[in-house]
Amino acid sequence: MNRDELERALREVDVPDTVGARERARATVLAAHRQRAARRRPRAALVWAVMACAVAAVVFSVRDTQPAREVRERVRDVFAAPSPAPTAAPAALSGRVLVTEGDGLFLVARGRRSTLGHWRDASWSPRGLYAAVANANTLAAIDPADGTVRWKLVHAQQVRFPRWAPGGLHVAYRAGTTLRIVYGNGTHDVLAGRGMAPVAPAWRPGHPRTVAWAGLDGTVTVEDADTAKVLWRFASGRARQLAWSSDGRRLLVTGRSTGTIHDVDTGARSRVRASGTIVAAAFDGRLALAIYREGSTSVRVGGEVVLSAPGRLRNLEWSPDGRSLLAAWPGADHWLVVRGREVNAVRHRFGGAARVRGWATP
Amino acid sequence: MSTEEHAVQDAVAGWVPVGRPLSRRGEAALVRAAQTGSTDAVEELFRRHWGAAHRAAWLVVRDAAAAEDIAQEAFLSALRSLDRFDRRRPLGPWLHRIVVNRAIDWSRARALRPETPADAVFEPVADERDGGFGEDVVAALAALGPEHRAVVVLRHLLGYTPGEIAAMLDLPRGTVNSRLRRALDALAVALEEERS
Repeated sequence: MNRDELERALREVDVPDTVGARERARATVLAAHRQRAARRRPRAALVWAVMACAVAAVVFSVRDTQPAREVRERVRDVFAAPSPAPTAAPAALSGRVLVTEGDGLFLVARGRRSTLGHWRDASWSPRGLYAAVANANTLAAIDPADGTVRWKLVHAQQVRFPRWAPGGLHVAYRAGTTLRIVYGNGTHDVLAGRGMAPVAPAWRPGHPRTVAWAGLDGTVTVEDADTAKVLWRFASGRARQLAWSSDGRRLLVTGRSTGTIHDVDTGARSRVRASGTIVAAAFDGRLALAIYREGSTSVRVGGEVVLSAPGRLRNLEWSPDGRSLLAAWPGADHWLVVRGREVNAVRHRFGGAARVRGWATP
Repeated sequence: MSTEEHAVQDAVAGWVPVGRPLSRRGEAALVRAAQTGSTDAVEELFRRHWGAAHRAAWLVVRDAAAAEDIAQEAFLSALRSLDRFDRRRPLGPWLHRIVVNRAIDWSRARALRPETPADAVFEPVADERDGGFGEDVVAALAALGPEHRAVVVLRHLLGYTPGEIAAMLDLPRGTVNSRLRRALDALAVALEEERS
């Protein structure tokens, strides 16, 4: 074998499924580029708006002027006691929402609900092209348009908490008490950790291979999904929920009535104390916490109460653009959607056991 | 007047936009256009680089699904960092560096975390056929370790010099040379055995 023969062989040997792979990747790359371009457009306008606000704030805050007082009052109004406005049209709920009720999975989009099969848990793939779903001992990926199963794995133990990585490459889930990670196409299912607590694993935004998971021994581990390299591990007590900030820098670990935010770049920790039980948390650009106390739940965003209602809230979910927050109370026939100073009540037809499993773009 | 002359006249008169087609533009111009949001430019960059990136990934990991994911993830990673990309540098080496390093990581991880069987795993079935010398080379390549496969692919498929490969894999140049030598010797022995 000479050098030319080797190079020709490497150049010309058939790579399986070349055309299919190219077309799938092309569609994914172009879709990602369009999303990125769409996100970039308002950025310049936003920068100018922020600068204008900053200038106005400096000007008005120098003296206790009438405009300054008005600005303060308006800001206070937004968070004081919003009263939900019932909306017949689902305009406040743009996009697609996955909901489970019992062992049924539903898609809610444009005010309509369609059934996607018998699944108890679900999460969206990063671009909302598929959903990872679980029921009993089966993990599957389905097409959210009609519930068609693209692939499935059947384990001997119960499967829960399927969570798709931000790059689409992996799905992490719990089988029995183990953490397992499988490729997004259903191949290469591996054991990635033992003694996993019944808490959903959380993929780190912007780091498509980094996943955080809670152990039964009270530790939280952040590791590389491909190499199994442990990046951080810390004692957390009994964790109930893990959530990353959208920049992938801070990890929130919530317990019963306290939470800790770990800055994984600097190692700094900050405590989040709640005057009640933390029943739900959503961390995107901002931290939203639902705190249950004395028969009612209040939802705080950045420390300010944006919602308060009787009963124990079940879900908090940020919209894909991070600007709307959906809150779901069991038994209520509507979801509350907070967007800026508006609070809309969006009616639905689910019972008390329904849970929102994810909110994706249209 | 010929059609071509009409076209030139129209262009001169400003009836039709004149510009080099994307397929003939330099890479820096394409990257610049992609940075400003041009989907056509991204598609052209994808067209130019996908084939080599995908083939390189497959030759290192020998797994069609993983190769597709690795090459795709490299493109997505490049897209995410496009704003920070220095247009004076070619895109190819940057992409190939991501692809080959991820392919090595994937192969090591697979060795570290061997698959445990589930009861029903979707797995495409490969055709059984004699692919000739090319298949023999690929089979012999597959018997090498991922680090050795990577240097062979970078040198003999993508055409990088040992110095460039050393920079891409963050290795001393001597290590690259020795890995290349050992890999080529092992390939020659394997192919000799195959022929005999």
